[in-house]
Amino acid sequence: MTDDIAIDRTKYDQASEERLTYKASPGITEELVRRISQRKDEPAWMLDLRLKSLKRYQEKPLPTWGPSLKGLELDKIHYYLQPDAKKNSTRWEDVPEDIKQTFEQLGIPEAERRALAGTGAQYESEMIYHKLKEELKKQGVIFLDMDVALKEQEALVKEHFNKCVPYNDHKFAMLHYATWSGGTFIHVPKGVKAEQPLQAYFRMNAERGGQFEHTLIIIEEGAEASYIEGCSAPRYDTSSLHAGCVELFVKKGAQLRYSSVENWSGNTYNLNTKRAIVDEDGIIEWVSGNLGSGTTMLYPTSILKGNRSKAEHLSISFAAEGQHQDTGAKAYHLGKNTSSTITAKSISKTGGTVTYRGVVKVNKGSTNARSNVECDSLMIGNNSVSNTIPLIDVKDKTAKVGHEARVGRIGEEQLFYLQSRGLDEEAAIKMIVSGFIEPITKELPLEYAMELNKLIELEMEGTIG
Amino acid sequence: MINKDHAKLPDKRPEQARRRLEAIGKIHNLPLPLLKEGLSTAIDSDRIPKELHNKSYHQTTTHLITNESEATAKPFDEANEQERALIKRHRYSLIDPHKDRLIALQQAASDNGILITIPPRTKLEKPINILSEYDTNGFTHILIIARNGSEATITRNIKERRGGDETGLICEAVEIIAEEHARITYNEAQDVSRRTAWYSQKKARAGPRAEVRWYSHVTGGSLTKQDTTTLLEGKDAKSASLATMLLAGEQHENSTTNAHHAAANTTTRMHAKAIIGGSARMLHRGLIDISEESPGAEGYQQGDALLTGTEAEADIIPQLEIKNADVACSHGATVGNIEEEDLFYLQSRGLDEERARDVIAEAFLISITAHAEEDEQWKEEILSIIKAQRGTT
Repeated sequence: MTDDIAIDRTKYDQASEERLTYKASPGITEELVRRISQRKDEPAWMLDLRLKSLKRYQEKPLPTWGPSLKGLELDKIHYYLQPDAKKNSTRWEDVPEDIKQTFEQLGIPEAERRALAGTGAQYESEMIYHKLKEELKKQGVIFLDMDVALKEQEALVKEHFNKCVPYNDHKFAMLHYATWSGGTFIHVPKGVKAEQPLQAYFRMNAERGGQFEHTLIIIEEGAEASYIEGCSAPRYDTSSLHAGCVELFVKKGAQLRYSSVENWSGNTYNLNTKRAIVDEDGIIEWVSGNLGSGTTMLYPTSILKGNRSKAEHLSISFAAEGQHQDTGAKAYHLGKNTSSTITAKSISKTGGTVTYRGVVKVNKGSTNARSNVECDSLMIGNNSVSNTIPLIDVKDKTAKVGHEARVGRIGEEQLFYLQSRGLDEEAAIKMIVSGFIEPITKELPLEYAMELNKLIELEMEGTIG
Repeated sequence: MINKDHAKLPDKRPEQARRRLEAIGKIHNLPLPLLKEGLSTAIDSDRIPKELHNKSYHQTTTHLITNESEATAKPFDEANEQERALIKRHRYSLIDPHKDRLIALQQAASDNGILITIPPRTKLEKPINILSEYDTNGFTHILIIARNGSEATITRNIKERRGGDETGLICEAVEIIAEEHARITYNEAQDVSRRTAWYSQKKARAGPRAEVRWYSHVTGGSLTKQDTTTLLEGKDAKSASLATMLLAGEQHENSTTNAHHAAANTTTRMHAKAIIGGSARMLHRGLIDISEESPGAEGYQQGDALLTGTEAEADIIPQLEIKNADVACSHGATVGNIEEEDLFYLQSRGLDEERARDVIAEAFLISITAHAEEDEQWKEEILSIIKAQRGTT
């Protein structure tokens, strides 16, 4: 049974040969920021924003809470890497052979063959492959590389960029706004319902690289869309940094599902900021899987601004030896009759640390807010650590907020039952684990669900003895 | 005025005086207690009287002790030589007197305390009752030593005699040492003036098979800061921390309950319930910390707030830190208000709205006794505390 699901971790960990047309020297300087902007031929307002962010970044100390960032050598990171490939090819054949191989190994064209609505792939700092199904194009859906969007859709970008996650939000947002490159831009016009998911894949290849993609999604009034992204990086001995930023705008009566499976290599610092602003009657759904990466600090946030807006967060975090997954979810209830549901599952295995850090905040005057948070942790093996730090902050007496959490190990009875049905212990544990994460996998498109399942299975290997 | 003279005032023992001098020297370098956590509701630290050293600390605190048992319960200054040695050994053995400015002040200014010792294998049938009455400011230390296999309940009422507008400060420290197989229940009802800041540090150490149970009911204080910690150091040790709070007006409350598991098969139950009216604010944090040395540990934690005031605010942070996979832990938290349906039901049975709200609120607090179901005596103590204080508000 384990045979057909066995996968080869090396396909993620292996680095391809570096072929870059431009590799910035390590460290970040004003000169570099100007250079990035110049190479991209950006409008002046963007350069101003970059410089403003850089200035704040240089003044701001590292955060003192959360996991240790000691191993993060910010001066040694290459902040901008441009691969040797035509930007935004629409034909898969145009993509250079080695890059293509990497993505093929990761299953991108496979996914597209299964008729996902659109695909974008980002290698290092630039988007290199991009395709959007004809039907969606006709309906006016825009799916672009963020750099191109800045040129072709400047007005839309300017209206929303830096408006959901402000550049001065925290140290790594400042860094992001100074050095951002690539990412996804999606605009779904009023009333359009994109039935199939749009997807992007981000890959960091170079040693000591940094990836700072910016994703901006705008779902206009009454429109619906689903977007999914996957992320990976090869394994080096030195640390690399991913500080992406995701800004989501869900307008009146619109609906967006944002899914991501992040599987960075074990020495990546994944310090990501994801946030959505939801207007009246809008719905945001987050589905996230956090595996890989050495240290993750990621708390997708829903700002429920409009009356009757809704947020649903569903996530799984997995930490094996040496990993610290500090993840969670935040919901800010600002409108009236808003609701949020947060389901966070985590697995910590031998030597891994998972932390759930969450916030549910109900403002004064945000009447009849409803929120329910459920955290479920599974601990396997020795030396694993599971922390739960939820903050519930209620300033309106009409609110109803509930939080529940459980931490435990695999039940002897469950194990015994499966073993009595002929499974060996390892297979039984794998089966229990895949049952534990099922609420998340069943919400993902098939390939991503398979990938998530396989990755966790792989991580579980050798758990016994 | 707290100064070097003050150190000599209340008692002439050189040991005591030396300790005071040391503490006085350090007070102003220490931080005030932490009243805010991350993004939480701000608890107003201005309510701690600012000029601590300009206040008069010649307190007239009286402790009325009712003890009909073979256990010892007496003020520190009536201790015999043997008891003084015990005090010397155990006082501040659990609580760090340099943790913050207020506990340092408590160490410096406390003129007296109460020592309770329960002899080995002695089970007290009746609780030891203490009525502590303060004037304006006060500093008290309670030290409880429960010997092997002993069992006792201590119930304490904290009141303030004075009226008037002056802002006061009361600092207390409670330390409990529960030796092997001992069982200590410590109940406390605090009803001080709504102009007084009440600060209380409580810490217990539970040896093998020992059990420590805390219950606290808070209704008074302009600002309440209470930290209750149990160290589960012996195998099979147990702890329970129950708390109820009835806040109104502009009261601010900040409390933490902590259980540190450091041995195998230890268990913890924590539950805090608060009714928050007016524009009162509460910040409650619970922490269950399970170390690598405690396989088979079990933890339960719950925090519930009922917001009845239009300007009321609640923050609950139920925290778990688990470093051992062989564990069963759960926690939960709820914040809500009185259900219209429940109100309607009671009103349809002939209660007016105000009475109906009272009944619901009382039932909300009383349900804390679900954790004392197996012990009729503890349940009765909790019930009588809640009912007595409900009557006065």
